[in-house]
Amino acid sequence: MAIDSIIVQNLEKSFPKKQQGKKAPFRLQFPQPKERSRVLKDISFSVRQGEILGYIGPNGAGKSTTIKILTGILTPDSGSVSVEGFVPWKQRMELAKKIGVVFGQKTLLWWDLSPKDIMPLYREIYEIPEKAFSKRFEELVERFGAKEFISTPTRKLSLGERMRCDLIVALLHKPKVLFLDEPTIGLDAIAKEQMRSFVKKINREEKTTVFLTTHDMNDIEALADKIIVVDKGSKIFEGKIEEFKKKHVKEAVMSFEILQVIDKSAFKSLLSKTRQLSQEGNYYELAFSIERMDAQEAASRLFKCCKTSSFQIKEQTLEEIIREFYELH
Amino acid sequence: MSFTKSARILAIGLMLHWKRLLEYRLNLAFDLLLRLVDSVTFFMFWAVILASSNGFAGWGLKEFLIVFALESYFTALVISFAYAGLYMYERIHNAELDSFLTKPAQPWLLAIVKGIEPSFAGFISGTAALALAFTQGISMQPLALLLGLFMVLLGVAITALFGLSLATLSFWLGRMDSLESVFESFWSFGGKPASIFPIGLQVLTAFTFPFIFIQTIPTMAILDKIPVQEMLLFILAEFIVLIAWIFAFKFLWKKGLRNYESGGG
Repeated sequence: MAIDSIIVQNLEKSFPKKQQGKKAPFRLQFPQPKERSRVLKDISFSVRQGEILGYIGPNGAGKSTTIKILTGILTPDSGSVSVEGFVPWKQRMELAKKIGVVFGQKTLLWWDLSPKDIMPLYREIYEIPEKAFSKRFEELVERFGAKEFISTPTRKLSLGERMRCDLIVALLHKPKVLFLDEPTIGLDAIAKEQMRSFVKKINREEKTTVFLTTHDMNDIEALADKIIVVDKGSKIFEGKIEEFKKKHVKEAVMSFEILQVIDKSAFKSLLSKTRQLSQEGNYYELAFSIERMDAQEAASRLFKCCKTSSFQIKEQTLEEIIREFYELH
Repeated sequence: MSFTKSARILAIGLMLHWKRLLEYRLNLAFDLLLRLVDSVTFFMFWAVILASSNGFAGWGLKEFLIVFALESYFTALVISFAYAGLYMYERIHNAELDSFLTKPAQPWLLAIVKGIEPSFAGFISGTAALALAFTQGISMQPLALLLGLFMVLLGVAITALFGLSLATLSFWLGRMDSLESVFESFWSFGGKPASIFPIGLQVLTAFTFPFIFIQTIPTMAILDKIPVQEMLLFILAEFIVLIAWIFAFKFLWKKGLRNYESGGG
């Protein structure tokens, strides 16, 4: 039976509100103002060992605050958290040996030195025996295809190469949980794809639990076993991507080019049951409610009334669903 | 975290910065040039002062040569390590501390390790001053010299903790731009006999840039003006100041960390 790697219950966090008004610059921030804004409200969830969780939400939803509490950076106001059996803000050092953290916008590397140069420092920090360290390091370099640039000063690395090296550092001590905060931010399409495949590989081969926050829904679709959607500090969905899609995908889009209309009244009826998005000559784009008509039915209705030269049905992508979802909320 | 692990991390940090320094040899040469200018200015200043008076609070060029040597070592170590502690305020403000907090080591130690700026020029000028004193036939007490260097090390620890403690204020305060100038203002108390300052100032500097411990007392003992045994009392006092700072820093760090808001995201 799978054991929970991360357990979060009724997590709450607030920050002091920024002082407003004309006199604000003259007021001291110490002691801290009593007015606070709640950034996490009663968040509860769990992540099983070896699972990849996609933790998503719009800017300011509380994603990074959650990841920072789970990694011991921030202390919550209330609630309980267990990561690999440790309370992060109370047992930070012990927990740090069990987790790896990659922040997409912060690097673990030193600007003037190569990633290889600074490895002895991380070996010492994680107290890895020399022999085991060399083996692990070489294995990760090989696995991530970093041989060519591991000895290049960080300042000369591309963002994709730098992220790969950051991932190597985060995995040196074989962490049980890997926290990734926007790991593909700023990467080009190829680098993003590589990053995803590395994460997948580590998850599959080492059974590493992955906690991923990202704005890129392709990351989520490629990696996540489960997603949690947060907004304004509250959890609004937890489950499989398919469940989320089923719950929130309302329409699909059918596009086709007509060669000949066989049955005019049936075509009219099809048009009345759909929403016309565009029409250029004989080329149509129709949106239809998937609750009223599934893709197969839509296709058969079309082929009964028309001869077509091209035909395509496209469901909304997760990106589009999430965007609509954010707009709605 | 054990003391030996901290020491090993610090040693590796030093080694990495040495490597970095070798990549930028020109900086090292420039550092040496600046230190040379600084040394010449120091001696010219005191030569002018001493020429127009009969000594300065009982001190002559001989004393200033020893003071200069000790201050050079102190400066080299403060620039190398203590400033890295002070600049932790930037790492707190720009949330770089996040990365250190997710490692199984003291985050402030990792901040210092990353911020080390090895300053070798001070060691060279300090050693040159001691060699000059030796060749000039100035008689020096070897034990007092050794204890004096030990007092310099303790003094650097005090100044580093002072810098770190100042940096922890950034957990609460937004603007810390003038922190560096506050820190540096204490340099002006150095290079002179502590006895010329009122007792209040002597105590204040003992807790910040402890020139009384790293310059005045060792110089007197090295030149055999006070017995070496008297030095031990001052070493004890220096230890007490150091322990007071360790507690103060631990308290501020713990309180500050609970208040840490990180940033971004």
